[in-house]
Parts: sequence; structure tokens; C-alpha cells
Amino acid sequence: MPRRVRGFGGTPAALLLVTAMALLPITDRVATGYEVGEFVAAGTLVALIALPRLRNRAKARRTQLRLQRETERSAAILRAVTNDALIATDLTGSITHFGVGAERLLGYACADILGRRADQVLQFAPETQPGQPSSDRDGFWTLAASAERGDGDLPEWTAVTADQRQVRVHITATGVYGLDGRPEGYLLLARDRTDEFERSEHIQRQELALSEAQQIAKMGSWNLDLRTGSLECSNELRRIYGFDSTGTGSSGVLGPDDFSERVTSGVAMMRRRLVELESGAQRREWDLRIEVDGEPRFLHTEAVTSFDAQGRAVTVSGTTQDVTGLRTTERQLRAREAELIREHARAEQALESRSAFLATMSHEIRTPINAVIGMTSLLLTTSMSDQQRDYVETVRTSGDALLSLVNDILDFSKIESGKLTVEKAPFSVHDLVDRALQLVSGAAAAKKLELILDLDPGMPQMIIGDVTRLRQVLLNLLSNAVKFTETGEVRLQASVVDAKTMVFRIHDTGPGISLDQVDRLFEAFTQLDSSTTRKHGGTGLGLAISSRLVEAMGGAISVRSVPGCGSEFSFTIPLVPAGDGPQETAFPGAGRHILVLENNATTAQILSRQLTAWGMSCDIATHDAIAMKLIAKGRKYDAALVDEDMPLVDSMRVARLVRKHGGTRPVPIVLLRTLGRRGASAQAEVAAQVMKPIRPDDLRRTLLAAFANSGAKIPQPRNHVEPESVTPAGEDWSHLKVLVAEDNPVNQKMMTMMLKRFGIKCQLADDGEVAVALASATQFDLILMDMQMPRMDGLQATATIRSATGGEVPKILAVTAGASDEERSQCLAAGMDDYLSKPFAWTELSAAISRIMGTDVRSSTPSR
Amino acid sequence: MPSEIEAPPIDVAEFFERLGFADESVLTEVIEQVLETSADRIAQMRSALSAGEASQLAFATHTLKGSAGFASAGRLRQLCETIESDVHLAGQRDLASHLQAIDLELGRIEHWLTVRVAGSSATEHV
Repeated sequence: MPRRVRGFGGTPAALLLVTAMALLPITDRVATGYEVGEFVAAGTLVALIALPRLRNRAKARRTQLRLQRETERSAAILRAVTNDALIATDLTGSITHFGVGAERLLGYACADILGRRADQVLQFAPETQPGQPSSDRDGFWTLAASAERGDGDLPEWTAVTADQRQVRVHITATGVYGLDGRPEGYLLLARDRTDEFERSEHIQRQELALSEAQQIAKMGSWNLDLRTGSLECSNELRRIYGFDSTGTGSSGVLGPDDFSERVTSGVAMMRRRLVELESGAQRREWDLRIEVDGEPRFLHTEAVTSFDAQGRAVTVSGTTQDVTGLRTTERQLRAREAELIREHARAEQALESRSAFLATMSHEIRTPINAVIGMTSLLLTTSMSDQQRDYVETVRTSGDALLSLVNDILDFSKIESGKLTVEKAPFSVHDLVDRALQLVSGAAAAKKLELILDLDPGMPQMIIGDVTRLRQVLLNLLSNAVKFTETGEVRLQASVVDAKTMVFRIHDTGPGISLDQVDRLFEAFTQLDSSTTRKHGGTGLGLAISSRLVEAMGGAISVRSVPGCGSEFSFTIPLVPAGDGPQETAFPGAGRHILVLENNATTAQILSRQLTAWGMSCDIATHDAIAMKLIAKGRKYDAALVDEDMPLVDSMRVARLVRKHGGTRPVPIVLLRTLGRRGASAQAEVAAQVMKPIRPDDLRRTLLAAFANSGAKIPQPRNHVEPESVTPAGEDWSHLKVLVAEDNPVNQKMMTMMLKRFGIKCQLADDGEVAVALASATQFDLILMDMQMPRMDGLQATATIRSATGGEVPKILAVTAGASDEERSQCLAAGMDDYLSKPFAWTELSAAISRIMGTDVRSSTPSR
Repeated sequence: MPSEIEAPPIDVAEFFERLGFADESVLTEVIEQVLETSADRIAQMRSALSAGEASQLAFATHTLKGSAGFASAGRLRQLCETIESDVHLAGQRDLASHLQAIDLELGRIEHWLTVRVAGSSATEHV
């Protein structure tokens, strides 16, 4: 509140007052508190006594006022634009000023905090680590002390806000002094540097991570300024080149310049690459070998060039990686690889030696075993006591088992060594299954098992494949089925799946296999349990061998089994029909009615299906009583198929009844016989018999014969023809000089007669040597050459003839009983022109001659 | 000699078809040759079997099989094939029994030929 001076009155008091005023420091309150009139009153006195002095004081005061206004305006502007916190206190720490920036930064309101003690309200602490404040509780006084010492620039401090957040600040602490120089308080200016610190620390962390990454990868980076020649590089690059981070080498004799020289141009390779990069190449990579401390170091560098607007190369930057470890590993790997190749070669050589050894052993082992078995077989035909016979039987059985074992092991060894080859030649599926069944028929009969063949009527007669391997697989699976089945039946089914696949199924009524055993069934050296080996013998290789063979033939093998009910092994193979094959002609007995008296339901069903396929109808009776009923109902039959296993008396009674009710024509009874059983066949009622397992061809032929003998009129299957010279297109072959080199008189006769049919008179040679001699004396147009002849075989004879004549004449036609690819290749390789498999028909020979002599083949039917 | 009626050992129709003409004398001649040469073959096979010489057994069988094939003696050819292909598969006992079966089949062929030549009306006649 300004004081009001009421009047001076020329009194000493007034003068004192004016003087005092002049002497007193001018303050805001004083300066702004007097009215103009009072000044005027005093002015006269001043003018008289102290005017000059007062004038000076007024001027100073105006200046001070102006400065004060400027200061306030600046402070206001400063408050409005800065986020910096300005805090002033007196010497006791009482807050005298708390700027807008302080409010923003620390979250306190100025009105709430003015006059309060800063050391009690505000928390400041120096950082011990970035972002980590110390536990200093007297932060304010620490700042005050710094301010007093004059070292109050403190960049790494932490302040705590009203809501207890930590703010990282740069604090400037100064003292506030009065005009007399005495300290009046403290001024703190705090700037929020949290973001700045974090950015900085983030960059530091990234640089550290990059440096660590470079260190881990042993990869340094660099940048070469082509204008100045200056090189910037990472510490790792320095390390790679054997320098420490300042460019001093481990020996301490090289400096930064040396380093730069060494890195950029000290190596010819690098210099060349840099020239390329300077010349416009955008990217290059190269490898260097340097030495550091006498040790080789391999470096891989990749570099890119940057260009300015004028297309001039400006900088080259790149990475250089120390790949010494990698190169060392590569070198070791190459050495290891070379060693492995050598080892592989040694192993292959050893394998070949083993295969050769096995091939030799195969013969050497089998021969004495065969001899043992053969001799004991002969011995068994001689007169012996029961005990001796028993001993010899044991020797023979053991020999059989040993041979089987050896065969398995040798086969498996051959498969494992990759020596297994698969033949592709035409063969009869019917013959294949028939023979496989024949081989196990004895064992099946001994156990009174029903052996059944179920052949798909749609199965081609001839297909192409490896008949030997197929028979081996079939035999293995059939033998197992018979071996493990005590009662019931073993059925072999061969059927067509689709145009490209056929399947064989071997079903038995044995004990079956549990699910967990099925998985390892086809593994080598595995039998279901050791008792299997003890009881049934074997190597456990059979199924493994079968599996590999089937796979080699392009098929797959599988098994289904129900414990207690039996098993079914099946395998597929590609179905490749061999030409059209012989087509089954219409059955002459079609329309006839047959009684099937068969107690095995499976066999009965198969018979029914087969007879139906041939155009006949049938009644099935699984028991003689059923048959009796059918006959009693007046059913009449043209023939009866009677199972030998049916009760003999009753089945013959049925047979008689069938014959009796057959009318005037005798009804043939065909007995279905099982190997090793004799009985009904001797009966007068039996017209014919068929052995089980029943092969469709056998049944068909037997039925035809039986019908024929019963007086039934059946058409003749083929007509006889009269001889007449026939050649394709009616050509004259009589001029051809032909030699038949063949040691078998039967074959000689047949070939001679066939050639005669073509108007050809031929000469004969009993062996290869004679053939060569005749060929040298006579110029034959054609030689039919047998492959296997005494003294000199067909291959050798051909080679001799070819070397003697040196031309393509005579034409040589191989006549061979084999049909394997290998044999055919051998024929052609030996110089033969073509081959023909024996036994051949005249039409095939005609076609072959026509082919080989350059005449078009045309089918020709002989005249009748 | 089997007493029952069975399929004939020689498929005459097939034989004539193979030959290209029907001539009973050629048939007789060829079958007789089969029978003549087979005696030696059987002896060779027996010898090989008893000596355990599988390859010799296979060779002798192969020759007989060739004759049987041309002669349309289906069963004989089949038996020969069985021995030839199963020499290493079958046990010695099976081979011996197959050899016996071949012997029997040759007997059947001989009987068949006799009946045929004599114009007999035996049941085996086709």
C-alpha cells in the first residue's frame, strides 16, 4: 500500500523526508506511491536545494523501471514457451518461485507449493547409472551445495513428479544474490531429458548390439570415400585385420594409415575389385587370404558402390567377414568327403568280392547239401530196418531244412547287395499257380488240409513278368500257410484288379496273427517269437525276401489277420498281358447240368463259378443227403463232380443214383481227388478224376473227355489238316538253303517237317562244330541255331561263323528254350539276327523267316 | 499205368496245329523219338540228382522239356518245367518225386502211343 505524503509546508520534516527518499533505495512501492501534486510541491525545494541530485536519481529510477518491465515481459515469454522448470528458493529452501515449466514437469501447482520447503516437497537425486537414481534423500541440498560451489551444471539427475513418476533431468543450479552480493537464495533450472536420454541409450544399445553381432559373425563393415580416400570402419573390421580398435596392430607397429593402406589397397585382389567398383560395377564380392601374426586368415568381402547424380562413384561400402573357420571346416569336409569316397569305393569292392564269394559259395554249399539229400533219398529206397530208416529220414529232413536255410540266406544277401534283377518274359499264370500249389500239395495232404485254387476266369493266359520270383514268393507264402495251419483250408486266389494290376491272395484258417505282430512281420530276421523257430524252423527271412521281391517287381505285399480265424497274405503285381494270348474257346459242354457233391464250401463255390462261366448250370450239395433230396425231386444231371473226402459209400450211392436217373445216356462221375488218398477211384462208377487243387484247365479237359466217353457228342476242338506247301504271300522259299543246328532229334524232326511245309529242304547239324564246318563249306541263306548244344554252343558257333564270313549272310535265327531278356540280348550280341522261343508253331517259324529274310509278314492259313 | 480216364498225355490237335498239317505218321515218329531219347535223359537226371548236381539236373531236364514241348506232351513238359525252375527251391525229396512222376508220364505216353497205333478203343483215346 503506497504511503501518501499530505504536504511539505517547508518544514524540516518535509526536507528530511525528501532527502531520505532520495537516499533510500527506490522500491516499487515507493516509486509508484506518490501523487503528482505532492511532487510538484516538493519540486520547488528540490530545485533549490538538491535538484541536480534528484534529477540523477529519477533518471536511474526510470531506467530501473524500464529494465524491470523488460525482465518481467521476458520472464512471461519464457514461461509461455519453455518446458524447462524454473524454481527459486530462499536460503532456507522455501520456494519463492515455481514457474509454469516446473508445474508441467513436476506436476505441482504453483499456488500449492509456493512458500513450502523444497527439500521436503521436491525429490531430486543424482543418477548412479543411466535411469537409476541414487538413494540420496537430500538431493535439494546437494544441488544447493553445487550452486554455492559454482559447479551446478548437473546433466544426469532424476526428479520425482507429484504422481511419483521419475523424470530424467538436466539441472542447472545457481545461487541468487542481492545487489549487495549477499546470497539470497537458489535458482534451479531443470530440463526434461528423458526422451533424449532414452533415444541416446537406444542408439548406444543398437551400436553395442551391432558391434556384438559383428564380433559374433566375425564380420566388419566399412565405408570408403572415393573422393577423399578416407576409410571408416567398424572395430570388428580392425580386429579382423589384426589391429586393435585404434588401428594399432598386435605388434604395435602399425598405425591408422597403415591399416587404411592395408585394407584398401594393400592387397592386389582388393585393389582390382575397387577399380571395378569405381568404374561402375554396383556390387562385387571377393575372397582374400591374409596373414595375421603369421597365421592365415581367409576373408570374404561384399561391397556396393554409391553414385552421385552425375553417375560418378562416390563411396564404396561393404562388409568383410572372417571365414577362416568356415574355410577350415570346408577343407576338413572336402578331406572327409574324399576319404568317404575312398571308403565307399573300398566298400563297393568288398561288396563285389562278397557277392562273388556268395555266388561261389552258393554253388559250393548247395552241391554237397544236394548230394547229402540225394544220397539219403536213394538210401531210403533200399532195404533198411525201421530204426535205420528213422535215422536216414532224420538226415534227409535235416538236409532239406539246411538247404532251405542256405537258400534263404543267399537270396537275402543277394537282395541286400542290390544284385536282384527282375526278368520280364511271358509266362502262363495258370501254370505258375498250378506248380506252386503242386509243391505244397504233399505237405497239405499230410495235414489233411483242403488246398484250393481260385483262379479268376478273366485272368489272361499269358502275362509278362518274372515267373521265377513270383513262384518264389507264392511258394513262400503257401508254405507258411500250410506250415501254420493245422485244420481247415489254404486257398490261393489269383484275380485281376484292374487293367494294370493283378493280385494274389493266400488265405489260411491257421491261428492268425495279432495286430502288434503284423507290423514287424516283413522285417528281416524276425519271427513272431523264438518258439516259431524252434517249432517250424527257418531263418525268419522268408517274408522279408518275399516283400523285397514283390517291391522289386513293382507291387506291394500286405497281410490281414484275425487271431483264431486265420490270415490272408496278399500281394499285387503289375498286370502286363503277353499279347492277346490264347483265347478260351466256347466250352463245347455248355448247357449241361452238373451235380457238385463237395463238402468244402469254398471249393464248391469256386467250382460253381467256374462251371457257370463255361455256360453250365450246377447244383451244390455239401452233404450226400442234400444230393439225395435233389435227385429225389427229379433233378437230372449230365455229370457229377464228387469229392473224394465225402463218405465213400454214400457218395458212390449218390453217384449210382445220378447215373440211374440220368436217362438212357450214361452219366459220367468225375472224382475230385486229393493227393495221397486212394479209394473211390477204383470204383467202376468213376469215369474220370481231377486232382485237387483243381485247375480250371484240368477240369475243362477232364469234363470234355468224360462227356466224350459217355457217348455225348461234343464238337472236335481242332481239325486235322493235310500237308501242303504254304508260305506267306505264297512266296517260293524252295530255293533257300537252310541249316538246322540242333542236337535234339525230336526238335530236328519237327523243324525239318515245318520247313518241308514251306518247301524247304534243310541240312542238319548235331552240334555247333558241325554247324560251323557245314557253314564254311556251303553258303546257307539261313541257319536255325539252337543255343545249347554239345561241344560248341549256339553263341560260340554264331561268333565263329560271323568272324569267318564277315558279313550278314547267312541269316541266323536263334531257337532257344529260354525267353529271358538276358538270353535274347546274348543272342543279338553274338551276331544272331532274331530269336524264336521253343516250342514254336509253324506260323511263328514262318513269320520269323519272313521277318529275317526281309519279307513282309502276313498271316497265312494252311489249306485244308 | 493209370487205370482211370484222364486227359490224354499228348494233345494231338495242338501237335498238328503246331506242325501245320495232320500226319499220323509224323506224330508217331516224333513221339517215338521222344520216348527213345527220354531214356538217356532220365538216366542223366537220376545221376545228377543223386550227385547233387543241380545244374546238370536242370540241363538234362531242359532238353527233355524241349522235346515234350514240340511233342505237345503238356503234362510231361509241365513236370520238366517244375524240376527245372524249382531245382533251387524245392527240396531234394520233391525233386525225386517229380522225377518219378516224369517216369510215370513217359509210361503213360508209351501206352497211349501203343493204343493209338493199334487203333485201340481204349478209354484214353481222344
